[in-house]
Amino acid sequence: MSKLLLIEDNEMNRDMLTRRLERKGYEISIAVDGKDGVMKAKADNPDLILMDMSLPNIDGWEATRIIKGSQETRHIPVIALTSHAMAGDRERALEVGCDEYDTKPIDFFRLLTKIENLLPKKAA
Amino acid sequence: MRNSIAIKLVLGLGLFLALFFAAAGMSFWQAEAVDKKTEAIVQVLLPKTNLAYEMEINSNKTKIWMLEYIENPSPVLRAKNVATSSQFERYTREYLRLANADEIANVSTVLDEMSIELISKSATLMNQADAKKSLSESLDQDFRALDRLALIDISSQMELRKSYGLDKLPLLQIMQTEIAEINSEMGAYLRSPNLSSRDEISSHSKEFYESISRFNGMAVTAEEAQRAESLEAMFRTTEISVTQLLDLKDSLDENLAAFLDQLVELDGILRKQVIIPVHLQMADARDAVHSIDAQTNRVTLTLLIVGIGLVFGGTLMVFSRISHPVNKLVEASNKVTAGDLSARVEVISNDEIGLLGAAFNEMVANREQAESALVLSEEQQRRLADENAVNATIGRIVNSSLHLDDVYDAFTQEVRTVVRFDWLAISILDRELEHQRIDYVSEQLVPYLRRGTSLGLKGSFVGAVVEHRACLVETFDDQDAIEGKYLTVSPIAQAGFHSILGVPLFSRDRVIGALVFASAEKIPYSESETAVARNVAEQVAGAIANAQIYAERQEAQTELLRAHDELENRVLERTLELEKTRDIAEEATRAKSQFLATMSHELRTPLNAVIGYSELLIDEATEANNTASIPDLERIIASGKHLLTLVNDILDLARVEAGKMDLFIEEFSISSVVEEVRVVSETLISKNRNKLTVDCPANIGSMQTDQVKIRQMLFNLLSNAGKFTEHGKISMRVDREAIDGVDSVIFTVADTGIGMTPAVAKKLFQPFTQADSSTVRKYGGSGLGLSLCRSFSHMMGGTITLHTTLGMGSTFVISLPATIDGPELDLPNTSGAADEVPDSISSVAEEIKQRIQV
Repeated sequence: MSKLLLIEDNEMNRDMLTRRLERKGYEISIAVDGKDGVMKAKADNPDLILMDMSLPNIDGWEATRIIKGSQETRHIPVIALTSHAMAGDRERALEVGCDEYDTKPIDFFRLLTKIENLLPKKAA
Repeated sequence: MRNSIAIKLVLGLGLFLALFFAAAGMSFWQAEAVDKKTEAIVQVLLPKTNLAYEMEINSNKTKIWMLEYIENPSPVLRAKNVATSSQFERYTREYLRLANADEIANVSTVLDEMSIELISKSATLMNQADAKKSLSESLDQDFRALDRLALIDISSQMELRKSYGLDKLPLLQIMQTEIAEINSEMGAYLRSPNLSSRDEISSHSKEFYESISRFNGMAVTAEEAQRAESLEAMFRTTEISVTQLLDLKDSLDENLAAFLDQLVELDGILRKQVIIPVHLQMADARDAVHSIDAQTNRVTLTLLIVGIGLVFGGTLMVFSRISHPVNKLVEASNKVTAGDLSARVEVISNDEIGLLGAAFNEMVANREQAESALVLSEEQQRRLADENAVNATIGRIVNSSLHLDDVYDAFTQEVRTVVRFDWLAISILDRELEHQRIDYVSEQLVPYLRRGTSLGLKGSFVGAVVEHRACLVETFDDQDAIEGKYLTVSPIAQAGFHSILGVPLFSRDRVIGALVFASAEKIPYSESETAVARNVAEQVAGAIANAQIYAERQEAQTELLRAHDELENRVLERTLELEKTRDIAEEATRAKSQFLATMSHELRTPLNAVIGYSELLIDEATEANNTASIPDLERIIASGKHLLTLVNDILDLARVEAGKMDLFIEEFSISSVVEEVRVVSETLISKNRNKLTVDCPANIGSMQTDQVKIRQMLFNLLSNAGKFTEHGKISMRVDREAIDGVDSVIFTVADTGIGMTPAVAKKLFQPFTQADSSTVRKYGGSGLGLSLCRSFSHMMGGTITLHTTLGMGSTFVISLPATIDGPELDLPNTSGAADEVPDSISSVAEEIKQRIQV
């Protein structure tokens, strides 16, 4: 069972996404801000991280930079979630080290495809 | 023969060259001498010096190694000693090879003897040292044997104590002490010989002998007696050996002292005969080189001073013999050029300059004669030429300026050379020929008649000239003679003038004024003077007429300019007002767009939750088999998504209008974008049972612009087409061609749907506009899509156009440049095409702007 770390500060979004992903058979751990997220990424060693970009304390851009800069956590794929859909957000996300990018509101099935593409291939 | 300048120069140059070669020769000779000295130093003195030092070092080595050898003889040291002594001989031979006769005489014998003696003495010394060494070694053994014999060891002592009885033992101990004493005394003597230790050795020997005879006397057994005897015999040989060693030591010391003395003597000879003389020779040679150097410097300096002196002397000579006379000649010829033919030069030398002076004097004399002959005939011609020249000059002046004052001043200057006058006035008439105005006077000499004065024409002198339309000449002795005739003449007469000439000024056959010349002489103006004056007057009249016309035009133009300025000011005021209004309107638009952007973002967050939870509920309901609520949930999701589209479109539009929509420019393949759009919009299009055809040439190539926006526009157009067409055909075509020289890509989306009337089409690109409000109910959609399409295509430097007929379908054409340079392209309101209507949101600003530009 793959383990995902969801870093999201909005309680409703967090709850909804957690429940929907759990239904799809993922194990979900949660972080509520950037700082918490960086710590959990180290402690829980998840298979993939879903990172909201506008977070309190450390924002998602900085948190990704820290995660991708650390020897322990740099191998974990990160999907950036932004609510702005501004031109250039995608490039910026890839630049800080994100492996994928999606905009909110989330199209759940599109997000699932992206997650499955990034998860390490398990031995059959 | 003449004393020519060339010969003088050659002599000077010759002297200079002679000095130069003398200096060069001297330097060369001195350099040669320095070379020789240097060579002597390098070839002889340096090796000699080195050799002397080597010899001194060698002598030191000999001494040190010999002392060392005597202390501790070894084969290595012996070889070294042999080497140094024979080395000294080789050095001697080398030195004698380099030495001069005196030195050879002084030292050859001494050094030869010394070197031979050193070798032999060294050999003797070393042999003695060897002998001493072996002797002292054998003595060492002897002493040890004696020791053993005298007292074998403690255990045998105890035995002896028992067998000999106690009284014999101390005797043996005394003997042993004596042996040890002799041994140590001998060692001390060998280290530092003196007579007292030698005496002590013999006193100890004596005591030893006494002890041994006592021991002998006390011997009881034959064994004891034999022991005493053998001790005595052994001690006797030992004693001889000791004496030998001591003698050898003494002789060795003696020889060593002699050897060292000889080395000291050798050092002395080396120092006195070799090192010091070599040093002195070296110093001498160095001094010699230095003195030659100094001498060369002195000679060079002297030659330099003499050379500078020569150059100065030469310059002085050239000046006094050439420049000065030539300057005089130039001065004189300047005088001649200026017309002074009396100029002559003084001839002082008989060289070329002198000849030149004489020839010049002769030439000037000839010219003086010829000139005086010419003067008379010239006088007559000159007057005529002057008049022509003045006429021409005046013509030029008159045409050169439109300012009458300049013309008058220049004219007065010129006319003075051909017409005689002391005062000149120019009067201009008014159109009615009633008044005259004095426009110019050459000097303010006449009271009442000044520049700018206006007078009546009637009864004046000028009036008479005007009336006659011809020149008028008057002469008067005193003021009475003219009093009654002209009103204006009496001030002229009072000012001291006695003749006047009036000349009318004509312009197109009309008299416009008059020239008045006045002279203090009482000679009336002649016919020829009058003729000249008439000629120049014609030209002045032309200038006055021109100036009058120019002044009239100037006035009219000034009036026109003033009116123009006023108009411009009013326009500017109006523009400023409008700009202010526009700024306010634009600010309001921006604030509104900002508000919309923020609000849309805030709206999206809860929408997100609504849609997400509804989808979750459907999942859960499906699992629980509670299908009854699913259609309602789907309606919630559909409404939520529609609301989301609206919010997204509003957000985009607000961004565009707030100037916050950026372009992300990248290079991409056109066909892959078209293919993506096709895949995404296929379901939408097939919903109304429409058929989609895509026509995109394989070689369409790539674009460099914002592909996301192109995708959004194409999707928008296709989804519109799908919405408003049923059972129809929808096509998307891509072409590439140059439009106005710009490489452009044209996307055409056509449908066979409901189409629209021209009135509807005209409003179509405005936000929140669908063909009519009923269509919203029927077809859904935000009504913002086309407005966004228009904004995006403008941002990317292109256009969007629509061709439609009601009931016959619609065709949208987006035309975009294939490449845009930078992200800063204009907002829609500055690049609007003529066939489009402004946005309602920015229409106020747009309208104001257009009004300003018009």
